[in-house]
Amino acid sequence: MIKILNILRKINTISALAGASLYALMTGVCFLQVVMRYFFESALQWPEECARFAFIWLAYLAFAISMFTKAHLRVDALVIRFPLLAQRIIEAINMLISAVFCFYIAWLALEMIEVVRESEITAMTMPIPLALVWLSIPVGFTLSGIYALFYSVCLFSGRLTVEDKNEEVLI
Amino acid sequence: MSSVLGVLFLSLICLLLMGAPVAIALGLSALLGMYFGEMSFMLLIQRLYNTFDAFPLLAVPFFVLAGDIMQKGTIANSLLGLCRTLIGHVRGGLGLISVTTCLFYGALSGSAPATTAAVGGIMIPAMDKDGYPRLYATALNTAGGCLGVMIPPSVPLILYGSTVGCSISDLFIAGIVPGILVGICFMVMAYVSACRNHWGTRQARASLWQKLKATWDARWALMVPVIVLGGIYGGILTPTEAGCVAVVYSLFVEAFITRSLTWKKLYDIFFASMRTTGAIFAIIATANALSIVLVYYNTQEILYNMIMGISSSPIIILLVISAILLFLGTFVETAVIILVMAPMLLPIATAIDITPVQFGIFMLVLLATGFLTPPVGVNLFVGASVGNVSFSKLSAQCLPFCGVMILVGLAIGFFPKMVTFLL
Repeated sequence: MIKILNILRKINTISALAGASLYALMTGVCFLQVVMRYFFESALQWPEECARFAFIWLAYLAFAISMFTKAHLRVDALVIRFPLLAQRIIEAINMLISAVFCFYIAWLALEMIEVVRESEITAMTMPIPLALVWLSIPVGFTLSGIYALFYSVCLFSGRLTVEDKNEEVLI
Repeated sequence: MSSVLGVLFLSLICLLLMGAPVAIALGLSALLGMYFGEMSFMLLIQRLYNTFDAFPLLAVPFFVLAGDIMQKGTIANSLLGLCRTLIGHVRGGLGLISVTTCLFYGALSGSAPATTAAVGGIMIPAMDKDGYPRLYATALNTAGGCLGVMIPPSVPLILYGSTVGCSISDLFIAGIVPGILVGICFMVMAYVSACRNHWGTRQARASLWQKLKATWDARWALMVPVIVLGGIYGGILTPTEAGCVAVVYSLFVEAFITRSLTWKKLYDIFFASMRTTGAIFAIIATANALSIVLVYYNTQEILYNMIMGISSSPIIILLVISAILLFLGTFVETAVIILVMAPMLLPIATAIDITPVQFGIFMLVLLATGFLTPPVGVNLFVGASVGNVSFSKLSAQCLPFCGVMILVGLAIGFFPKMVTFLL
């Protein structure tokens, strides 16, 4: 389990670095657009589209990061009143449901990408196939699904407690 | 039709009560609704993509990042010193300083729990040391955090604007007055409580020189609202661009002027912002997917007929809408309520002559009470952990502050001039 956790940590770090680069790219191109428009009076065509695409990728990478670091918002007012064992089982079921949902969405998105890819649509201002942007959805959801499945297995097997809300600590 | 809606809401409530991630609960309910309605599941995937293929929504990650840079750097901390020299000499000074700092913080950050954590972390121990009851000090800072979402930039207002298609710039400008009004009410409450109970000591009045020096020290923080609101109000920047400029500005100041940034710190800031935005984005995408299912089942019309059928008086209708928002606010996340309920309630509001901008601010102020009400009050969780006090006692102590926010919210509903006169 520790080995798997270490691999997942690495994947999470890589996606965090990719996300941070996208964040920087978004900021850079938007700022460039502001500068070009107000100081050189010649607005560019591509920055807005570029920023939007970076944003979509960032959103789904961040979705996976939130799953790994357990930052997703949840209503735990009722659950925390249960005994610890019950809490652990409920949380394991939650994570299992989340994993199934994420994998299913990733699967559906792949089917959608096939349609987009066959239509050979490219972006309006840049020579990028749109399917590449759509790819963010299956990537984000697959990663989230893997993380959720891992937590679910750890919780079911008793290697993870429910008290460690923000840390992915294994016993 | 209504039985499907019943199943949909029941599954949503069960999943939420089980403590499943809100985004997953929303997404699963949307899938269920699509299944029963024989809709194509591809609609959901399309919605997941289209939600983020929107330029106005980019303002959210920008303002979250800018807020994180300023809070973890040095820009935000300078505000405390300024507030201390300006009002530290008044009776109940520390209470007033807390609220004023929250007001200024609100102009840097668009999040309520972040404001509570940042200001409360410094002010609660300081107030405790100065003779205020710890519970009261925590409650004041917990409630003060709500000013973070009211004073622009505000994440809920960006979501509202992009959902109902109304100008985010107008919403930002309209949000200033109610935010300051709630702040003033909190200050009056803090002052009266301190005078009546003889809490706190009075500090010596700061000299003009000290005030000028504190203002000079806080100059980088004070420039932020000038750039953001000035840029938007002057028609130079769109809200998204203003967010981007705020990021570049704060990065520039922290990296080259105060030199507080290291590569490691920068990575941590980006990572923290991604965690926050990831949680918000997940909810935005799935709540949007759920809302197309609700539109398919004609929920909007059902709700419209139901509320308009209660009474023909605009006052009663407004009170009913307020009650719905306050009720939902106690256990549902603000972002979800805005994304799902705003498109459904807006036609009703328009029918009783409330403009979209006015309704946005009205919703925001009422929903902000949700940060302070159990069982799911995000600020209460943050406040209870920062102040190290009991959650239930803190909830009770926050009630008067909720009351004030409800009154201001209702006043916005009844007196539109309060928010529209700046536009």
